Amino acid sequence: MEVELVNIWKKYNKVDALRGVNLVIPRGQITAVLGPSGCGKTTLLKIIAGLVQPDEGRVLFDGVDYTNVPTEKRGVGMVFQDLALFPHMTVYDNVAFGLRVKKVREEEVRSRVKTVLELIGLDPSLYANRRIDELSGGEQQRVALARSLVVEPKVLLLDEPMAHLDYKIKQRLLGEIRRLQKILGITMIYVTHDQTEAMSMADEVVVMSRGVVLQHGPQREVYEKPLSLDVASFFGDVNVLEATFAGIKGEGVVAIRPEDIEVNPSEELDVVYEGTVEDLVFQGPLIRLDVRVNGNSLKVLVGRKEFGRMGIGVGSRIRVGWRLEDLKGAKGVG
Amino acid sequence: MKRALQIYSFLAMIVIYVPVALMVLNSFNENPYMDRFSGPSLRWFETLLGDEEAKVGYVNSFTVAVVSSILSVLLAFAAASSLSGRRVSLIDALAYPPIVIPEIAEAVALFMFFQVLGAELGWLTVVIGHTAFNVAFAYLTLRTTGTRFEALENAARTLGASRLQVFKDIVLPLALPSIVVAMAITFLLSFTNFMKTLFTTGPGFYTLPLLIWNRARRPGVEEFSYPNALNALFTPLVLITLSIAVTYTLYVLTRQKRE
Repeated sequence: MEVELVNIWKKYNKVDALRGVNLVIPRGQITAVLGPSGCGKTTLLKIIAGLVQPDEGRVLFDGVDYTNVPTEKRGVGMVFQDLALFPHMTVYDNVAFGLRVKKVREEEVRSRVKTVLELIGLDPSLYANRRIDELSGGEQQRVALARSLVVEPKVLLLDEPMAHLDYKIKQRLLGEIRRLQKILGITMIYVTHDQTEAMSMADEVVVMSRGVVLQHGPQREVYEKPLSLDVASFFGDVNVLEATFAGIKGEGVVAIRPEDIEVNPSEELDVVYEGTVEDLVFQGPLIRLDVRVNGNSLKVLVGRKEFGRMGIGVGSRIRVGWRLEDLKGAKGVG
Repeated sequence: MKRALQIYSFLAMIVIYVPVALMVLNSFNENPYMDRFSGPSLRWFETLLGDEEAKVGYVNSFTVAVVSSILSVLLAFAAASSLSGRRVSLIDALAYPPIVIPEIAEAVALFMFFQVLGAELGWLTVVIGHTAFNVAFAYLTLRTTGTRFEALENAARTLGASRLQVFKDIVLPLALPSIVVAMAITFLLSFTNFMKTLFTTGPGFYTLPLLIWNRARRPGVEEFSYPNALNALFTPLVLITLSIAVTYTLYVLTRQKRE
């Protein structure tokens, strides 16, 4: 289902949480809504779910106005940040809840709960009668997903559901959510402040800040062509550089991603500087060099093997350079 | 230090329970006075069985306590639900005074209130008087344990549950423990209340504590006003309150164990 938000405004205690948000979220894809805490992304989800009423603006599902439709009639599933599993029910009863309130026959409930638990990777014969507090964080996460999926929502909203999980479990679940989404073809909106989550699962990315949408587009486009420095730094890492612009009067800032900087380039590049390696940080497959150039510190990412061939260490003098086309945010310079 | 505290707790228990145990024991004493134990007997319970006044006292105390605890928990639940989320509200501030104000002041205030209204004093005024103060205890009990489960209610609604279904399937089962506690507290407060009942009742309506007091003032005048007859009257009361307290404690313990 396509979700469209038209000019949404929302104030809490005279503070603007959302300031004129316009957004079309495409059907059948995973859209990550990314932004720092307090940027209004959770409010946006609650407005889509009908748990919060906007002060102004409309919510359209496939072009139909749902602004005043109550939550329970919207057909919008939601996985909450703290999961909100019903503590007084078993795994089975939690998952069956959405079917039972719709008065689905008990035999059908049984088969659908069984199917969805299998789909989500929880063996029904082992888990159905467990209490919620007997489950690990990752298992609870799966139950929350199963519970929202069993009612076959037209759109599934996920509000930072991985916030409390270990890195490994998080990565596995993100992969599984993506796999499920491809199987079911359901529209998903995934809110997070963690750019690695957005990168590892989303098709589209919406970057928000202070109640407005800064940029919306396919994941790769937002990463490679950020419209502003804010977007570049929320989605990915950047070095911010002061620059003087030839042709236009004045100075400003531009940004370059650490992986776009080449070390000791063999070919001619647009910009080349000399610098000193100040520190090396091993990040697994990549190694980050902190290079001091003209009083600025530049972050540079190189592959582990490439680094081995360079034969450099802390204190080495190196050349760094990049292409002008890789600079970000030139448009956003003010 | 730990040893000293243990001895202290033990002594405190003796001070609390020995008088009660003596009363229960003496209700089985054949002798009408408590000065000596002349042999086991059910004499005072036989008196009690034929004692219509005592039965009326028990029934009145019980009905007042039941009605008042139901009313006060209903009112307190509504207040606690509607005020959830806000921090300390005016209602919170208003809920504490009934607990700390001397009971005699409350009782006199109620009495004057009903006088001003020109109300006929009787079981209704007693129930209203008890409820007016029980609400505060029930409210504070429900407020601390909670009657709103916002995240869970939201989750249920996204799953298609109507407000009524959310209340029935989520709020009520989760609030039930605190409702039970609030009912038990207000029932006991009401069942054993003396001062407020005395000031708010009218001719012909009496509860068990009032009856006990009335008879204790003139010991030995009649068969049922001997001290040990009073003890027999008192024994079922002890058993009722004790069994509620024990049930509640066991209930809390098993819940803690499960968690």
